[in-house]
Amino acid sequence: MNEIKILIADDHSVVRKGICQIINDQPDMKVAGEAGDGLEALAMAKMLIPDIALLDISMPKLNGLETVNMLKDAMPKINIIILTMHSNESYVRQALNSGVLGYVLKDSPSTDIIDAIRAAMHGEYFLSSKIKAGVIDSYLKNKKTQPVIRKYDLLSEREQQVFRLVVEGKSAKEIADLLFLSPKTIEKHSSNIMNKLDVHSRFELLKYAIKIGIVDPASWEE
Amino acid sequence: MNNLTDKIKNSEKQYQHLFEKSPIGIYITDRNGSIFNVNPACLALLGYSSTSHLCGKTLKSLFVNSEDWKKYLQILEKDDSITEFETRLYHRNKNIIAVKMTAAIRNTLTGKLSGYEGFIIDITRFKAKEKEHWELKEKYRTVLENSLAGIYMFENGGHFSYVNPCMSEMLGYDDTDSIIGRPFWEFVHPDDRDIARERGLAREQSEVYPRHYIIRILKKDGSTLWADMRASHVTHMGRPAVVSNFIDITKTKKAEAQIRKLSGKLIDVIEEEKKFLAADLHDEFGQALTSLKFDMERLQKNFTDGAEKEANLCNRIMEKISDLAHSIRLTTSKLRPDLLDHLGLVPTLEWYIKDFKKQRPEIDIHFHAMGFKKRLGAKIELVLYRIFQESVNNILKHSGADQIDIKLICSHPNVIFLCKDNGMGFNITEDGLLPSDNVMGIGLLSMQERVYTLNGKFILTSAKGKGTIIKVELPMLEENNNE
Repeated sequence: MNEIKILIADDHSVVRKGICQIINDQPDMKVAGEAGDGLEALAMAKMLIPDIALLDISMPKLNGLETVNMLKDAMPKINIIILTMHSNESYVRQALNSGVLGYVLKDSPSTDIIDAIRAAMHGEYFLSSKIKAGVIDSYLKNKKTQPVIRKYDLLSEREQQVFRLVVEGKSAKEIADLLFLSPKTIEKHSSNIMNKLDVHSRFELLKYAIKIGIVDPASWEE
Repeated sequence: MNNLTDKIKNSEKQYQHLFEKSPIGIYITDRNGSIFNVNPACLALLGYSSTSHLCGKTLKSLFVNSEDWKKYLQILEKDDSITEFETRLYHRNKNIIAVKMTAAIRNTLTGKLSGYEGFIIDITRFKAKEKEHWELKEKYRTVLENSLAGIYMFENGGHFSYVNPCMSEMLGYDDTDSIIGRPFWEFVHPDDRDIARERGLAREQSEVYPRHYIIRILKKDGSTLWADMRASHVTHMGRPAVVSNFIDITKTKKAEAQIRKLSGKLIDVIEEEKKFLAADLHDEFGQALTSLKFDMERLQKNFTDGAEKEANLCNRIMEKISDLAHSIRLTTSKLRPDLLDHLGLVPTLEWYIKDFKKQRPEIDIHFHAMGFKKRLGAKIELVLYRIFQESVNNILKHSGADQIDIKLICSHPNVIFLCKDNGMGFNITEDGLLPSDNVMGIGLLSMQERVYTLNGKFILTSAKGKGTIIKVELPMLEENNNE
C-alpha cells in the first residue's frame, strides 16, 4: 500500500514540527512538504502533488481559506483539511463551501488530525467534536436549496450606478453626461434595471429604492 | 369818489386780514432795521406775546450770527430782494430757532429807502429732522463701513448694490466700486457656483432656507476664501433684494482639515496597534499553546498502565491549555475580528447578528446585505465594521429599542450602511449636531470621524420617541481599499 502524501501549511514552525511528529508516527503516512504561508503551499502542492493538504487559516500572504479556493481551482482532486484554532461556524461553513473535507481544531486531541486524514482519503467529512453538531446538516441542506436571491443582487455595478441616479431624479441626458455614456445606453440600462427589478414605471422604481433604503432613510421600511 | 374810497378801504381790509391771519411770520422794519410791525404768526414764532415787546428792537439783534446779518444786507443792496435765506434767530426765551427768511426793500414814493419787509418761516423742526437723519445715516455708515464682517446687498437679478469696505478688502479689491454692479456668482468658487446662484436668485424673490451656510468665495487673486455666511431676503425701496454678512473662516477650515487628518491618523494608529497586538497574541501565545498541547499529548502516551494519576494530570493540564487558548482567541477577536480579515464584512456581520440573536433573544434584529459582487477593501470593511459595532452598542446602551434593522447596500461606486432602531431617540440641534449633554456624543463623533477620513457622508436622523436612523455612505475608492 502506498503511503499517504501530506502537505502541511502553517506559519509557525513549532506547530509544523508537532504536526509532523504526529503524522510521521503513523506507518502509512508521510509529510511530503512544509509550507510557511498560503502562496508557498500553492507552489509546493503543484510540485509535490500530495494526497492531502493540511492548511492553517491564519497565514501571511494568502490565508488558508483563499488558498483552498486556489488549490481547488488548480487541482480539483486534492483533499483538503483545515487545521486551525478558529472554531467559528462561519469559517467551517465557508471551508465546506469551498470543498474542504476535514475541519480540525488545534485544541482537539491530535488523533483528530489522523482521523480527518483517513476520512478524507475515503472522501468523507470529518469535523472536530467541539464544532457544533448541525453545521454539516445545515450546510448540506443549504447546498440543496438555492439561496434566496434578492432582485437587487441581479444588478451589475453599472446598473446599480444608473439605478441610483435615476431614483435621485436625474434625466437620461444628465446621467449620460455624468457617466460619459450616450443617453441611448442609459435608456438601455434603465430598461434592463426595470426588467431585473420587475418594476414597470419610474414611480415603482422610486418606491423600490425607498423600500430598500437607497433613497430616503426616513421612509425606509422593510 | 365814495366808491373809490370804499374800494380802497375794502382792499385794505383784505390785506389786513391776510396779515393778521397768515400762518407765516411777516415783519416790517424802518430803514435802520428797527422792527415796527410784525404779524401774530411772527410774534408767536419769536416767542413774544405783544407787538410792543418786539417793536423798536433791531432785526440785527435777533440774528444769532452777525456774519449772516452782513450777508443779508449785502444781498439786499445788490438784488433788492432775498429769497430762501437760511439763518438762526434768537427766540425770546434765549433759545435759538432755525428760520428761512425772505426780504424786500421798501422805498418811499420818491425812491428813497424806507425799510425792509419779508416773511419768516420756522424750520427748526425740519432742521432737527434733517440732523437726525444725517446722524442716523452716519451711524449706519459707521457701523457698516467699520464692521469686521463683510456685508453686502444684491438686487435686480443678483447684482451687488452695496458692498462694505471690509468685504472688498477681504476679497482683495482696492475699492467697493470694483464689486458693485457685478453679479454675485462671479465671486463664488466654481464648485459652489451653481447652487449658490440658484439659491441666491431664489432668495431675492422670497426667503430660502437654510439662511446660514458655509461657502467658498473667489478672491481677486484667484485664491479661495471660506466664508461663514448668513443671508436674508429683504425689501429695499419697494424692490426685492438680499442682504447678507459673512466672516472669513479660512483659517478655521484649514485647522479643521488638519485636525481631521490627525484624528484620521489617530484612528489608523489605534487600529494598527490593535492589529499588531492581536497578531502578537495569536502568534506568540496561541502557537506556543498549540505546541505545548502536542508535547503534553506525547508525554501522556508515556504514562500507560499503572500511571493513571500522571495521565489524568496530563489531561487536566491539556484542558487548562485549551481554556487558555480559548480566552486568548476571545481577546484577539475583540481587538480585531479575525473573521473580518479572513472572510470579509458580510459574513462577519452575519455571524455577529446570529451570535447577537442568541445572546439577546428579546431584541428583534435583522441584517441584509444587497448587491455585493466581491469583497470590499480592507480599510473600508474595517471602518464599516467599527461603525456597525458602535451603532449596535449605542442602541443597546442607550436606546431601549427592541427592533434593529441593519442594511448594507452596494450602490456602485459607493457602499451604504443603514441602521434603524425603534428606541427612544434623541433631539438633534438645528445644526444637525447632538446636544452637548448627549451620552452618545463620543461614540457618534468617532463614527463621524471615521467616515470623514474616507470622504464619506454621515447622516443621523432622530427625534425623541421616534427612534434613530444612522446612514453612512462611503466611496469604494482605490485609496480606501488599502489599510
